[in-house]
Amino acid sequence: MSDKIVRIGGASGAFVDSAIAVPQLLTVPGMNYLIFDYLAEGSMGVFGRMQAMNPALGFMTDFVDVHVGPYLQEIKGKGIKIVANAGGLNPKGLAEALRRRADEMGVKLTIATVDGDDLRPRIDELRKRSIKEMFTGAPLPEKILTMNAYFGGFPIADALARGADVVLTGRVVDSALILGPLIHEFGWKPGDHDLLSAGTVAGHLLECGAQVTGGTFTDWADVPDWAHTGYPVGECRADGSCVITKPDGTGGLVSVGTVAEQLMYEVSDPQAYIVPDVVVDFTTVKLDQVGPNRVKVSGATGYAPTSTYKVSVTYDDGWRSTAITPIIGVDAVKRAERQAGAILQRTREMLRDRNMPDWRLAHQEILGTEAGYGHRAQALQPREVLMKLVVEHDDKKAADLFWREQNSAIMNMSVGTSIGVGGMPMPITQHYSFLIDKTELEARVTVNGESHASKVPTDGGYNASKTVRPAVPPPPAEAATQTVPLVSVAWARSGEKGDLFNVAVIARQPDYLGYIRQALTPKAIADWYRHFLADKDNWKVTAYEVPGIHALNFLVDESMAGGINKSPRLDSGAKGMAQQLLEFPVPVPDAIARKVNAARAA
Amino acid sequence: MTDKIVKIGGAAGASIDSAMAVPQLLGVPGMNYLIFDYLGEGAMALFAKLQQMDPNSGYMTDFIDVHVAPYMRDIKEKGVKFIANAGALNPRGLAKALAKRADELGVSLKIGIVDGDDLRDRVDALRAEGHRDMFSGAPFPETVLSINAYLGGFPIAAALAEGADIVVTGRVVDSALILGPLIHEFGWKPTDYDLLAAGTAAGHLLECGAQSTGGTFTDWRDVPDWAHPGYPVGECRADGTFVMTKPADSGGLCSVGTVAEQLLYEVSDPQAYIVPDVVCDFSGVKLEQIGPHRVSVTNVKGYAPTATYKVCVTYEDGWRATSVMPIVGIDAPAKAARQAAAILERTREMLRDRNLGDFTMTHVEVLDGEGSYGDRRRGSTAREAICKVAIEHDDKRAADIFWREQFSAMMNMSVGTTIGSLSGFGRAPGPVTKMFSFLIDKRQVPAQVQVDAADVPFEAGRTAVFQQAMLVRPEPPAVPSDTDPERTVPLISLAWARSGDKGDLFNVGVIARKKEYLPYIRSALTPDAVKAWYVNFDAKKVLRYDLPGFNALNFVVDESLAGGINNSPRLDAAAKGMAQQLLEFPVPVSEAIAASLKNG
Repeated sequence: MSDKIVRIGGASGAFVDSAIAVPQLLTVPGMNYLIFDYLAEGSMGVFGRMQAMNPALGFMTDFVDVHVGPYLQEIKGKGIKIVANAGGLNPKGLAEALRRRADEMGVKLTIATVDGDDLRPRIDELRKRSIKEMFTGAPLPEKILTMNAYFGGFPIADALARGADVVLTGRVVDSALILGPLIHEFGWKPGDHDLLSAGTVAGHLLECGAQVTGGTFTDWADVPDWAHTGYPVGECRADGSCVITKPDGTGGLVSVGTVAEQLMYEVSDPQAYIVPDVVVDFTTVKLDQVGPNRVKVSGATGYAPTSTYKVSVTYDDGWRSTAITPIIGVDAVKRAERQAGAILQRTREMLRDRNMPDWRLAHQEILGTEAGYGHRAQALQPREVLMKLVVEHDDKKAADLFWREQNSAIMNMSVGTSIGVGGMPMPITQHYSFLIDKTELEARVTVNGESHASKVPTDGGYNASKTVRPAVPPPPAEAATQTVPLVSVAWARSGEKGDLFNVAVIARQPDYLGYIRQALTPKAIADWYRHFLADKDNWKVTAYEVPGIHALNFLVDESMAGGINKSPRLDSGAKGMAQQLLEFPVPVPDAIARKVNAARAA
Repeated sequence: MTDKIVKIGGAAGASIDSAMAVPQLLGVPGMNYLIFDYLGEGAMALFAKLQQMDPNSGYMTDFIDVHVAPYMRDIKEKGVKFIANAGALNPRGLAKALAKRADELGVSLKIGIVDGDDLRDRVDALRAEGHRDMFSGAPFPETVLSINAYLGGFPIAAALAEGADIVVTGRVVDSALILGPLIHEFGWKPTDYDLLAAGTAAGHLLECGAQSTGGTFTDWRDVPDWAHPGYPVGECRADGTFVMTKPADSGGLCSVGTVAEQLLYEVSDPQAYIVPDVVCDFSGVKLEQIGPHRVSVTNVKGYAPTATYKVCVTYEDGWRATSVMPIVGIDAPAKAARQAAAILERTREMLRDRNLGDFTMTHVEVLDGEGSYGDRRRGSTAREAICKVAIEHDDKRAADIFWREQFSAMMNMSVGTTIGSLSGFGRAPGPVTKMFSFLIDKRQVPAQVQVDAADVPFEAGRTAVFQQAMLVRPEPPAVPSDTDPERTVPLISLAWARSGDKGDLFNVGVIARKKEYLPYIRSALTPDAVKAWYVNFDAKKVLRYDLPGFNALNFVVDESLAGGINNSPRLDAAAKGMAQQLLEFPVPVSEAIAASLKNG
């Protein structure tokens, strides 16, 4: 029993992911599960708008058409089970579509759904309570598109226990797609906090496609063959340990660096990574390279879960219009700046003339000038830029007005202005979160048309004050004498978390960490990113120690102009934040400088 | 009679133009006509697709909602007439909608229409006639979205003669929107070739919005107040002369430079600018600054028209998808180049595996601040770049495969690849609209004119027929003897320049700032030198034309735009940056000129 290995392949990490993953993962001997994560935070809004047009929609058709449909025979033949949050807002609709496809192919499948997460029928009732946004305290928004609770892994395990070959869910936390099968396979219990944490860590690593196997890795030049990137495979054991690897003959890279980066991706407090089933502590996790493209992940610990589910609401919030205009020639930057100013001036006057309020947001970026680098931008003199101007307004008429005037700029304004490449005015989907007591919801598991409420623990027990923060080691003894860029001594990965972003900095060698910590004070970080801060004087940067992987995790608050679904910036995903920090000059002793400079030269 | 001035305001120059033009132009004392050009070359395809969904659509609703309806009372009270090609594929539908709106507003307007240009009901017969594309020689397309002949100004004049307050047309040449009223007002005849050419020049200058009044002018710093540019006004006389100006108290600039640039905009052979009514020769045109923001335009010459109309066919041919991925960090351009190559490698293999053919087109641009500059790009150290990859394929499934895989690159490939708020820049798979042009005997396409839904009899006039041999090429200026090869100045010091696309070619008009600069410019800008300058755009052939009347040269660069504005996957599909690139060309000058530029 203790030798049992459960192999799980991460076959999709986003709304639109590669078609290369499934055939590749099907070649892995002994594969047990393929999991598919499709849903980002704002995705439900897309399904909500689809369903508003046609109630029979609201799920990922790609799951049937591209990812699973063509391989059903092989999947069934090999006894591989499938878990996917492809159900979106309509898991039963997807189950129907998959059933039809399976019937056509003569494949007999037991298909289960997990739902109950969709709270749209309860909006009116919930409105009567004084619900507050969990970060800002705002009341429930008016024009709600979708409202879904994030479920955990136990209902998925339940469906598997009832013989499901395929489990299709609505909204569950991404890592539950992996934790569910592990609970089922190893019989983990609600009180096994360390094991549930370990399974969540495995889930966190496997649910984002090739991001753990060399995708978006700092040392990008070391990652072979992007065209044939290997998708991740987790070899999981009953003790919670797991080896991350990838199929033979594929490109990509599995190393301590690639896994460490992904471990910290989009993580806030690494000792309080909250999922419905457990509160995970990443700081005890250890990573070991146990073979080529094989990294062992062990040591995760956890605490009792909270008594609430997070509920994610998407809602309609006015209109956005985006001008993206190529401007070519000497002084392109000056002309683009003047053009943006003239368009804003003209359209603002027009709004006034029509008794409409001003733009509630107007955002300008000249792309080609290192727009996101703020005060650290080089004095480039590009002869080709994109003038990007984003406005928002409650009234569609205002967005249309802007669209017309920005288009006329091609004839009205700067020489060298070419045809605009922006998009038509679009409705804005915003995001809102609140917590709801677990006892109020029922996760429904349906297998072969039979439906029941899944037994899910609801009692919680998490106590944040019991978290023991790791001791911060004393500063290094040896004096720093020269500086090297952070990239010489660390890997880094950034990601957005609503209005904040995290940057995890992982020391390439344990003895570098002290110097990195010494250099990257919260104040230094705030200063580095000051052009992103909503309030440059009252900033909040939190540094977390992650000693198990020799890392620091920084959270930069109020820095994302509202986050990925809202930010008008080029880097609304905050993927470039780590890239920016990797240029930070870190003072180190001569010996380290010599070593890393030699390594870079090689 | 000879003192009569007809004032025409150019109120729209594109399918989406500013809402500020109409109120501004209605404020000009003595205004007679406002004209609206909405139709770019590919515009009809869009209307055809709209009509496939709703047969009652197919015209510019903006003309009613934004440009006319708010001002209908002014039209009536001030007696200003409106002429617009807003009818597109359904002028009669637009006329009905306009009449309805006028009724609602209690305004009584006579509405004229011009059509007969729409040949969709004759597609099969025309295909059977074996027409080939007049530029490429390609055969007639199998499916057709739209097919329209470009009509001229006389049918518009006929509608005005019948008392129309508003004339809406289908496809006419843009300049006919101005030439029509001038024919009507001055009684010009089909054989008044010089006058018709002058009216066409006025039309060419007035039909592109603020482009003749400071928009996109080389000396952009000298153009005040882009927020409120004045839209152009032509003050036209019976002798064909006219003054270009703009409303008082507006921004913008009306100078010899701004007018000269626009005169050469999208012009190929400037001595054979062919419209249905006449063949224009711009080579002797004189431009004179006769007051602030007042430029007189004289000496336009004309030849008898051709016997044919140009017909433009739009059709769908395959699928295109365009991936646009922002990449942030050191070595961003190198990362972008690797990412583009990896996406193409992967998707090409997938096409092979699925027995789909290779992409019919692939296009990679790394937008790092110098993307279009080819061999003359400076090594970019930009830490933000945009990886742009476009593909085409006959099969939608192939475009879908590409679309999926490029998206996965965000997680699969380069670090720093982000989700940009680049709304609309990346394009999900969509059909590619292409164009096919041929010539048709004018007798086969009778123009139809109606006013208030009643037919107005119209017959085309009789003229001679244009012969290429009629053209007399001007003497080029003498080659200067005092050129000092060591003393070069960038072209921009000596000239203004304007570029524009013409299907699969682009033109660059170069106008000497002073007459004495022209010989040096001409000596430096040989067709071969210009071809070499644009080598990264696959320039195949460069033709140079002389326009001594206003000290200008016109370059036509062939086979260079990867299919032109409706088809090119390039960032600068419209070739608006080509003049900007040429303005950096080093021109050897004399010691005296070099010294004067240094001091000036």
